[in-house]
Amino acid sequence: MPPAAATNLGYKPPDGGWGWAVVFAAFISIGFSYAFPKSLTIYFKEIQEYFSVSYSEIAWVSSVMLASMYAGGPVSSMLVNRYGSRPVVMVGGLMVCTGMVLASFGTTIIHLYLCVGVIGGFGLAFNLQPALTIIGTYFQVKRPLANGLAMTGSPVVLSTLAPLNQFLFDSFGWRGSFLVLGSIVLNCCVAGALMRPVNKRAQSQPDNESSRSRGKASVEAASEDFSSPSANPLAEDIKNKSKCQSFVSRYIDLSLFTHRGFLIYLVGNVVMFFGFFAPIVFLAPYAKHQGTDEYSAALLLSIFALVDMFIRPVTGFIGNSKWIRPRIQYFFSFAVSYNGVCHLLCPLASGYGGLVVYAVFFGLAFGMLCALLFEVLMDLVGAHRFSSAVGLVTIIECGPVLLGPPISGALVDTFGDYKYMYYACGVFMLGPGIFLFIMHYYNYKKLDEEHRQRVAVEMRTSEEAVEFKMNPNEKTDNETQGETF
Amino acid sequence: MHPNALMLAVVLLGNLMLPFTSAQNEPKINASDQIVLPLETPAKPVTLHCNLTTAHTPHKDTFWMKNGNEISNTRADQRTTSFRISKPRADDSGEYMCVYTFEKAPNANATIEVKAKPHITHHKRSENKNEGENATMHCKSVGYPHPTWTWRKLDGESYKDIDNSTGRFFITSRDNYTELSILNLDITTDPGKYECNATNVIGNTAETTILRVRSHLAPLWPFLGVLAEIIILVVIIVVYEKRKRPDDIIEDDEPVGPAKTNSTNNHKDKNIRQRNTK
Repeated sequence: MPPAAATNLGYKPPDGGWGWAVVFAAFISIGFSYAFPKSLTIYFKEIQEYFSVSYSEIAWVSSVMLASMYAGGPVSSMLVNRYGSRPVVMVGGLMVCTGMVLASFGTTIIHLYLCVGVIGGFGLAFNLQPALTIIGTYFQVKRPLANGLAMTGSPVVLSTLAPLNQFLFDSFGWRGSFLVLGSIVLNCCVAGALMRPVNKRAQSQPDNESSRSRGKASVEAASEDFSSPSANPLAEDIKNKSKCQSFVSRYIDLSLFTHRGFLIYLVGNVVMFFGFFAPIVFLAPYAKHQGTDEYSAALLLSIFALVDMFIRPVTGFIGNSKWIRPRIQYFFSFAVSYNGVCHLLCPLASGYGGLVVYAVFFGLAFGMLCALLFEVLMDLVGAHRFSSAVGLVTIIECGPVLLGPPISGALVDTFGDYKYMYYACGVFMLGPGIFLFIMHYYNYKKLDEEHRQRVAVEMRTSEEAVEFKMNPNEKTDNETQGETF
Repeated sequence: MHPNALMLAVVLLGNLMLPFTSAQNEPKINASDQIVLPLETPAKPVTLHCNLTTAHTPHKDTFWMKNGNEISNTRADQRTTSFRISKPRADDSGEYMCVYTFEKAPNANATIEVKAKPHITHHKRSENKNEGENATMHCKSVGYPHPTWTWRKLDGESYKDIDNSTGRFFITSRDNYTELSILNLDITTDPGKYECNATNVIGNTAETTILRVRSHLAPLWPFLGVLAEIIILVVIIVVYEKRKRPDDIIEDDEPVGPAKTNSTNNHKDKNIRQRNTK
């Protein structure tokens, strides 16, 4: 087991049973969160003609939605910390539905920005965070597999929504489609209904009383967020301190910024996201630039999505194996670096066959990375603080995610050639990959040291306790004498 | 001989010669007759011929023109020139001219008309619009001579001319393009198949477009259907959970034996308890 902050849950997660229903619910929530903004692009042409606006103004709808989804992360985390996953997901589903229904009656493009972009985006944020968080509460041993399966939702829902959206558009036009999509997205509420809060008291513990009190303490701890195992004797101090702290830090754990693992993850991810989405966005235009026709270019994306869909659960399964699990951070760093290498080698691909090979390898790389993206964060900060961590990470990632594709587009326009963009993306991913390798090597060493120290301290205290038990009288005299000083 | 008779003979001869000399001043071109392209598969190649039979000044070169524009790579300097269309299609039809240029005289040309049945290249298969909106259907053709366009609507078994009593139908036609606009679509009368017909001297072709009018209420039924399905699912899940809950609580109260945990907090708790119970 990794010597990370993972053994402090205070209860034993089920690792199965209802957990698999929760994984299915998370599959749906995550699927809608990631796939919904992408699938709406089918309507853009018609909406653009209807409102007589330029292409960039229409593309803003997608950007506003994505930005709201990432910016809503901390709000979502606070709500999850306070109320649990289930209500937040259901509210999120209702919000997206309301946004889409209002948008179907919209009369100007500003209506679309507000309804689809802001309200819809926040609703999706309320779906994403809780879904990720609840997996951490239900799974410990099989968590990488559960994460991998849940993240598969994104390509599966996207490949379902894309033809469905086309059909809806042909049958009903864009207004009717938005109305029907609003009802389809309510399936997130069904997913929320499945997200039963994990039963923390029904787990086997050595002593029921201590487990109940510890269970209560851990429930309070979940809202006040302390995580190191050695903090139990310091529990009182931390409770007092957090009561004095501001409203914000009661609900979201800003002390994460002093957590070494979290900082490594944050720095690596922020740089990586600059080159994350751009290659997918430009895959089809690059293919057309090379001379392939539209259908073959679209086929490339389908190949990519298909490979992505299958590799995510496989990655989860591999990450769960006993060789990889203790050092899963290295696996993640490998996935990031592999992405970078893929992009750097892409300009060497010649002809349509080369592009197909690239699409397959890119699908492998992307799927591996996405399946592990949140698992490694859970591994670093532990399930208690994960909710706050993911909120902070998404709002900081908001910048690179939004800036990445336009910067790449600018590179393509300046040089007139796609290969510089691929080199840039490759560097943006290979750099963080190597950085993560080195930093995690250092981090694992430090964690091993701390773990050894902790074990030594506990051995010492348990020896003292055994002596104490053997000779209680002598010790009490000494103690009372000590106290009178 | 009498001098008057001699002068008369010269004048008569001169008059007889005059047409020859003036005819010699104009070049004469022998050209193919007008051709109608067969347009059946496999299409047989078609060749246009021009022969400069008489010219009093040597000619410089010759080239072909189609519809007033010079065709590239047709310049030659023989008196006989031909232009071959290997696989004739409808857009190969038009007005062809073989042109002969001269050093000190204006160009001479002959026109050969290549006609074909019109061929509709571009039309929409279907048009979906909401009621109250405007719909536009168009047809584009190639072929010479330019066709005349008519629009008809399929009514039952036969086509009928469009009834414009409501004044919502507008047809605009140019040489090779026609457009039918219907304003303020009516969901009861307007949906159906519309046919654009292109007719010229040689023949006619037609293509149909299907117009569908969507009702405003159409998306409401799937919306309500999905909404109902979701409510049913949520109710089922919540009821199932409420029924399971009491069972969970009963299990919780059962005494549980010592079990292995790998939590390192256990030592601490035991220590605390031991200290407290002292």
